[in-house]
Parts: sequence; structure tokens; C-alpha cells
Amino acid sequence: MSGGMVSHGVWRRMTAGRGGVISLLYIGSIVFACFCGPFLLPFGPTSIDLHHRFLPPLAHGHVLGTDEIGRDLLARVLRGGRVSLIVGVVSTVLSSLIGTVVGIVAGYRPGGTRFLITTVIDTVLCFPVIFLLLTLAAILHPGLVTIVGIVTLVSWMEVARVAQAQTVLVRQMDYVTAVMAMGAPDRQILFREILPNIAPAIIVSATLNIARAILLESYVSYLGYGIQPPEASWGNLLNNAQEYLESDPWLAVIPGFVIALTVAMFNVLGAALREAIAPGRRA
Amino acid sequence: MTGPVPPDPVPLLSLRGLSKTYLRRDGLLTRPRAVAAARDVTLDIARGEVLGIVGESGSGKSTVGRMAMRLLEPTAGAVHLDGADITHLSEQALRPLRHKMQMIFQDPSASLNPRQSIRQILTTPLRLRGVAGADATQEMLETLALVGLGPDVLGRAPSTFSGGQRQRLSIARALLMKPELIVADEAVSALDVCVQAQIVNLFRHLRDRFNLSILFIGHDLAVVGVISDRIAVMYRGTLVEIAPTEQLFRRPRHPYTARLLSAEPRRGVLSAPAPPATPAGQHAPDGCVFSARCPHAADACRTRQPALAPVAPGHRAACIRTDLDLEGILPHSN
Repeated sequence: MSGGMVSHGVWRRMTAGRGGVISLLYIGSIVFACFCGPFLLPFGPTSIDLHHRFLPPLAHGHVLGTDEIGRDLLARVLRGGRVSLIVGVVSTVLSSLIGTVVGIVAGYRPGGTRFLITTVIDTVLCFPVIFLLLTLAAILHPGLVTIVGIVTLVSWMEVARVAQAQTVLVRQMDYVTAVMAMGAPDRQILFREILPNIAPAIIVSATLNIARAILLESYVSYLGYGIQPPEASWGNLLNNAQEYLESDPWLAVIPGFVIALTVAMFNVLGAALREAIAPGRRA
Repeated sequence: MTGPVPPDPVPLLSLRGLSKTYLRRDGLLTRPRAVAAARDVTLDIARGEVLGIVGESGSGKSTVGRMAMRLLEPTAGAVHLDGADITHLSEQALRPLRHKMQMIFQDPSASLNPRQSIRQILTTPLRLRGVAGADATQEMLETLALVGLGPDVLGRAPSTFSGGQRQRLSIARALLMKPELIVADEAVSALDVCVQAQIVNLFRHLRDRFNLSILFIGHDLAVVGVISDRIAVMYRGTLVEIAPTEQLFRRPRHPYTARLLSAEPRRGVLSAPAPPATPAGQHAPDGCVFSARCPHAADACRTRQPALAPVAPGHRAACIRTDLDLEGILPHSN
């Protein structure tokens, strides 16, 4: 079928470029490491060992060293990565669903509906995200579900905008007009004709959104309103580490580096996807 | 002489004084200016008739086609389908009638959904008509055969077809709705000459076989002339002349039609729009739309737009210079 042929071409073009290959390899490895790694390590992420506090990397079998109560940093980074990746992916899936529905409706229905939706989007975009996050986090009980909800709430607008712009473009294509002229119901026009044609752009936008969501989770957890210790996340590892920045810098440098690298790789993946889906065109 | 189509008491499609006006704002502080894409267009199409609309790009011919299909809301005027006024029907009320009118578009690369296989594309109209299963496949194959394509196309993606094949597929999709009228909006303009002829022949065949009415919109008078029973000539949103094809070719009554007929290099072809004598929009605002470019313009032409008036049986023209003996491309009869 055509769908298969299309995605086959996308995969081939993705893996033809350096960016696509590197980002896919990295993301594959980090996902594997975060979800399977903790079971392969001799140290649990919460097992305290007061005899081996502040070990530097590679000492006593602790590849990345230990923290202030002797917990293995590698185990905690991987465990934290699990939380960060879950938050990034789950909130992106949710916000992409919301954004797609909102954007597609706004793009398909000119006039009052579109005006209302774009006004809401612009209003939400005007809020300074960090303060909104912190306010919400301060009111709500912190935890995984809360943080996913909060990140979703502040990140659906980007996808909505992409979906709206693409819908406006695709809606006026002749093949959509042809189906309208058959008297097809709106639902059919939206889901069978328009959605498959805007999906690539939404996927690209969603990939980039994962990077943003991971970063947002790190912010909030770093500031202490997100994932609560002893549960680890990349953000609260940094929070923990700031007291020991001078004496034991690896506690901050390593999680910081992993966050930066992961965010960068999701961005590279998004760019490669965009290039692979619509070569030479903006997606 | 093949006489004009006998007047039908109730034409299949009747456009009554259709106008489309856009408001254009030139600057932030200037008053919006009304730009007429189509002005007071009145046309009838009988059952089984092919009516051509010719005009250069921007003449409003596609606007008329889309308003006829109710894909574009007219600013004024009415659309009657089968004697019923459908101008103000809601989209909901219009849906059951939509199948009667189907459209073929100019750009073959944009007229088929690139994310669907041909089978999916052709299933859409069948499903809307409630045809499914073996009946659907049967009808799909019959229709494909009708437009000259085999069953092997069903599994393929639109991108694997040539422009002419895609137009055939668009026509098949339209036919599967069992329409009574097809609006072909520059349907052959993007194709090369040889393929154009094939598609035009296909339209003619379909008209003969199903007694289809076709509104055939184009900029090439030679091509439109081959298929049309009657031709309507549009210039800058205004219908300036309408006549049976042969009569129009033999004895045009509007100077713009005469100019189209004599256009170089090929007779009847508008290879490129001739540069206007005065910049667009510069003709006297109340005068005849063609007055600025017309070699026969009189003073009266600059003061009012003449209405479309009968000049011969079945022949109407919007020109006050009825005294002119304009040259056609067929010898005068009688």
C-alpha cells in the first residue's frame, strides 16, 4: 500500500544521513540503558552505602561515582532518565493529541471558531512557561502524573499551530475539494483526507517537543517542585548536586551533560525526520 | 448546419446573475476596494450539453465554475440545479445534492490524495453512495475501463502516474458519484497536446454515453471549441459573448472574441495574455470592461457596460457596436 511505500522512503532517507543515524543510535541506546540498565547494575538507585560517599567516577566499581549518601550515580542517572523520558514521551503524546485536534479544527473552520482557538493559543503562549509551571507545581501535589499533566498543559500549543497551518494548506488542495464536492461529511474529510497529509509535520513537531518536555521536567524537578527524592529524575539530580558543585562537580556535570546530549539528540532527530519526510521542503 | 441545442424548459444548471466580489485593502488606512472576480454572470446548461467557458487567467471563469458547484459563496445571484434554487442551502442540505455535480481540476498532481492508493481514492465516492463489497469492486473496474485504465492501477500510489493518467483517474473518481454535470476547470490545460486530445475525446465519449452535461472551462479557444456545443467568453469577470460554437467561430460579435480567434501563433490560442493597452484596472470604471483594449471603442463604450443582448438566435453579446462585421475563422455561411 502507499502508506508502506511512503514510510519506507522516509526510513531510507533517515538512515542515509549522519544526523539521523547518530540520533537514532543514541536515543535507542539511552532508552535501552534507562529501562534495562538498572537491572544489569550491581547497585540499586536507592541503595545507600555510607562507607562509600562522594566516590569519584570509576572508584570501587562505581562507574560514575557515588553521591552524598553513597548511592551509585550511574544507577540514579539511568533511573532518572527513565522518569525524564517517560515524562517527555507521555506528555508529548498527550499534547500532540490535544494540539492536533485543536489545530485541525481551527484550520478547517475559518471564522469565529478559528479566531477563538488562535486567541486561546496566543494567550496561553503569552504566559511565561516557567512561572506557570512553578505555580501549578506549587498548588498541585508533586509526582509523575502531575508533572506529565503540567508539561502537557504548557506544550500543546506548538503542535496546535503546526496542525492549524498545515490544515489550512491541505484543505485547499484539489483532492480535498474533490471529496468536499462529493458531499462527504466533515469527519471524513478531516480524518481520511487531511490528517494523513498533515501527520508528517505533526510527527516532526512532536519529536522536537519531546526535547522541550524533557527540559521542562528538568527545570521543575531542579527547582524542587517536580519528581521528589528519593525517586530520581535528571532534574532533581541536579538539584541535589548543587550543594557539592565545588567539591564534587561530577554529581552535577554528569546529569547535566546527559540532559544536554539527550535534548540535542531529539532535536537532531526532529531535523532529520523533517528532512526525510519532505526533502528540500519545509515540513 | 448543426442547430443549437433545443431550448430545454428546465436547464440542468442555471446561473442567474452570479457575482463574486472580494474586498481588497491596498494599505492599512485606505478603504477596502471591491474587486469583482465575476460580475452578473447568467448561464444555462442543458442536459447533455457541453458548455465551454473561455477567457484568459483572471477572467473569472474558474470563479464561476466554483460558484456553480457551491464550493464558493456568490456575493450575489443564484444557482439553480434541476430547477431548484440551491444558492442558500446549508452545507448539510446541500450534501445529498452534491453528487449531481462533480469537478475535474487543472493540476493533475494535486487532484489525487498522495497518501492514498487508487483503490482508497476510488472507494471514497462509492462509500458515500453506499456501494460496498463485490459491487464496489465491479463498479470500480468498469469505471476504470471506461476511462481507459486497467485493474492493475488499484494498488498503486498517485505519484506513479503521468499527468494524463491522473486526469483519467480524477474523471473516474467523479464518475463514480454518478454525476449529471461535470465542471472541468482547465482539466486539460496542464497536459501536452497529444494527451489533451485524448482527454477531450474521453469527455466527449462520456457525454454521449451518459448524457452528461459538462461545463468545460479553459483558456484555449481551439481546445474548448473542439468539445463545446456552445461557448461563453469571459473577460475580466464579465460574460461578454455566448453563442453556439460554430456560430461563434464563424461570426464573433464581440471584439474580444474576435481578438481571441485571431490570436497568434496558433489560431484561437491565447499563448500568453496580450499586454493590455493600459494597465489593468485602468479602463473607465463605469465603461465596458474591454474598452481600454478595444480597437472599435466608441465614446459611449467608456460610460457604461452594455448588457448581454441577443444578436442572433441563441447568440448574445455584450457590445453596443452591433454594426461591426468582425472576422471569424470559419467562412461566413448563407
